[in-house]
Amino acid sequence: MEDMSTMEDVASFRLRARAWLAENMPRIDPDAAARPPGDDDEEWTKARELQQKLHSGGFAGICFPVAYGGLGLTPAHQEAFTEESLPYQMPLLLNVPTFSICAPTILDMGTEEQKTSRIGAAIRGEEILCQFLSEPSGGSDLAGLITRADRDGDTWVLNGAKTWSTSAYAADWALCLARTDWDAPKHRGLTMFLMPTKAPGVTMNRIRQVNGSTEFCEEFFDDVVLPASAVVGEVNDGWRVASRQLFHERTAVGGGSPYVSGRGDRIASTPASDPLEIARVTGRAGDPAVRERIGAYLTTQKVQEQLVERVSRGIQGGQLPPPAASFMRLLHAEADWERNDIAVQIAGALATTGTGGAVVGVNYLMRQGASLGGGSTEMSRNIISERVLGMPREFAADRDIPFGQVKRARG
Amino acid sequence: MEHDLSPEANELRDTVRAFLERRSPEASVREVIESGISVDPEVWRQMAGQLGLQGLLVPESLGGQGTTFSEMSVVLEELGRALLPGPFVSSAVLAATALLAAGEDPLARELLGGIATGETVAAVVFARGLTGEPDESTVVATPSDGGWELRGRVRTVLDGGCAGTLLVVAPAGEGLGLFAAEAGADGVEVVPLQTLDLTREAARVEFAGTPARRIGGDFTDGEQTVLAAGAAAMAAEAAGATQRVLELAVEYAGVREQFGRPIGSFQAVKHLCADIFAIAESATAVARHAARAIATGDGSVEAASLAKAYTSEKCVDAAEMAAQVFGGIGFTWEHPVHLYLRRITAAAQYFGTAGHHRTRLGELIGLAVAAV
Repeated sequence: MEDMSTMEDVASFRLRARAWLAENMPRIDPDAAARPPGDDDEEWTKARELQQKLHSGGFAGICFPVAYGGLGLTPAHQEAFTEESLPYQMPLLLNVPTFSICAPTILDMGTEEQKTSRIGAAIRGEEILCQFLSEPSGGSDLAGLITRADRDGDTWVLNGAKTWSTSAYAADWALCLARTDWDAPKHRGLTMFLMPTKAPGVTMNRIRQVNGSTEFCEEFFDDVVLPASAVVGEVNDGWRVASRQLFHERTAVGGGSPYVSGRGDRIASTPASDPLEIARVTGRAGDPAVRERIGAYLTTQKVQEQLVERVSRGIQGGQLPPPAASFMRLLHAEADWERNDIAVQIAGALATTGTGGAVVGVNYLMRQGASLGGGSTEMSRNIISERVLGMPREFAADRDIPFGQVKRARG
Repeated sequence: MEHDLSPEANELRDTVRAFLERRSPEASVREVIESGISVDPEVWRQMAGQLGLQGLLVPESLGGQGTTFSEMSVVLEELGRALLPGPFVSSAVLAATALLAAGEDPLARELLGGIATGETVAAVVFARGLTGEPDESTVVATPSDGGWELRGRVRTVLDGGCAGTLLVVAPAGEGLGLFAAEAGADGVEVVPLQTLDLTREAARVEFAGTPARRIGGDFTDGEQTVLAAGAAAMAAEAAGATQRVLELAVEYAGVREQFGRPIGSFQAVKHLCADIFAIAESATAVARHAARAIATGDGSVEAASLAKAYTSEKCVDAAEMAAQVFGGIGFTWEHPVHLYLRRITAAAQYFGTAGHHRTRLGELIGLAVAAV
């Protein structure tokens, strides 16, 4: 953070942002048809352009340090900018995972070179970051991953497979977790790498989801060679880096990240999942049962807002441990489920055929995504109970055993 | 030190918690319940005399502390946590808020001074909104001999049995008025009711030409202000009670063993605890949000509704989940969880149920947006 005595105050920053936004950023077109989220190369090109505009106007990377291309301002400045930005098109696609997960992890754990190059390029709108974490053989048991990185002189050679990497097809660099020591227990033999997504030996496919979207990817590594400088943090200390990354992910998913600029994830902003919009379009706003459901939806939204504020300030101030970010993640899932469910309840039969455009029921198909993406809610409850409440840990068959000796399913 | 409270509120919370742990532990709460008295008079006297709690909302010029609803809300969390029996909410929150909302009035000043010292115990008799029954109150006020006279009955008056002063909201000509009557006056019949919540008594009250003095002018808006304060108070108590229920459940899950291991090591049990914790945190956040809104007067009705809509559903869920963690022991009279389940469940019903407040929020904010 900048020296407080020379920092521009929030009110003056807000006024400057308001004037600049009006002058420079394109307004949102309320009649534009909603696109399937993240599928479109054009959308990513557009996001890069919008980010470049923010950067040239001096409003990019508001909470990132000046040394790495940011503005070094406070979350209050970011919040003011976000509020002012609502009527305008913003590079929302870059918020998750680039700015709220990957860049903060590099900021916390990376080398000077990694911080200067990757964070700076992301803020300038030149590069997009993604995560290579989950594997076909393991999601919740992330530390049990089997993608390997073997040392070869001054370089590392990666072999294995990753999956569920959000918008990796649009990204330039990835944070990739791989096993570097098979004789250590599972958490102690991992290393985090920063790798180009288009490195020789990387094969990437897009995964088609139940709603037709293809924003997730899977990757296969065949002798991908990385330099020693690709290591983030220490060799065999990758779990510490990943823990930081997961903390940022839970915070981002829960809506508490100070590195997010602009509001609305791409899905929540589509009319097909907004209960208020559905009540309006279907003409059901007068029904008392609909009114109560709308009230339930609004209650959860507001409670979520208050919880995020309480928990994120608690973590920043050190009164709550970082694993408490799981509260935000958990409530986000419950809120998302409720929004999807209420949307279908209000739409009724129209959920099956469309409410004058988007089909509510198709959005509903992604309901479980909220409680799986970014770590399952079962894992969140484990984290809350074991690491915030201090309850006894569950038995694990692979604890403290050299990873190479752990029995694993083949396949 | 909690970051979403002022340093003063943090200190107040610590002081009140320490006081209640010393002066009103569970054993003392049970003594009050078993003896049939509604409050321990010595605890009540010390709360007013040493800590100034009954006077938190009363202006300093009238002998109170002149603090805001934010400080009051933190105290209410502690009272819920400790299951403190007695008419604190009725007298120090509802009656004080009613008298302040009624405007400048010599009688209001006198009563506020008495509330602050704890010598006056006042209860509010609502025209509507406490229970949501269609004919909650049939009381009407009519002019009589230069004063007023009350007639009719009210099914439920919180703390009606132990209050010396009844502040009655009743139709008076056009609109509503606020009236003060002595509980011992002629023509007042107070019939104590059996209550689910053993720590908060209630009574049916009948007025048969009871003399009363009017305080201030039209009280239509005033009643809404008091109902919002009541909703926020119940939310704060429920949040505090839920925090304590969580501690009890986690502690028990750590010592109770089955299959050779503490039950708290099983996911099925620890996930219940994680959910109770998430509810306790959310309830605290939203109750404090409501308190801040009442303190600043900014969006207070909406914020109180929001807090009540959430806590009336979720804190009850949390108490049920805790009862599940305790298994059979939670069904015994000696175990405290039923006292919490009683207090939280009863609080959920007063000043509007979750459904009532959800519908209201749907109308207050939702449909205003949907109508655009």
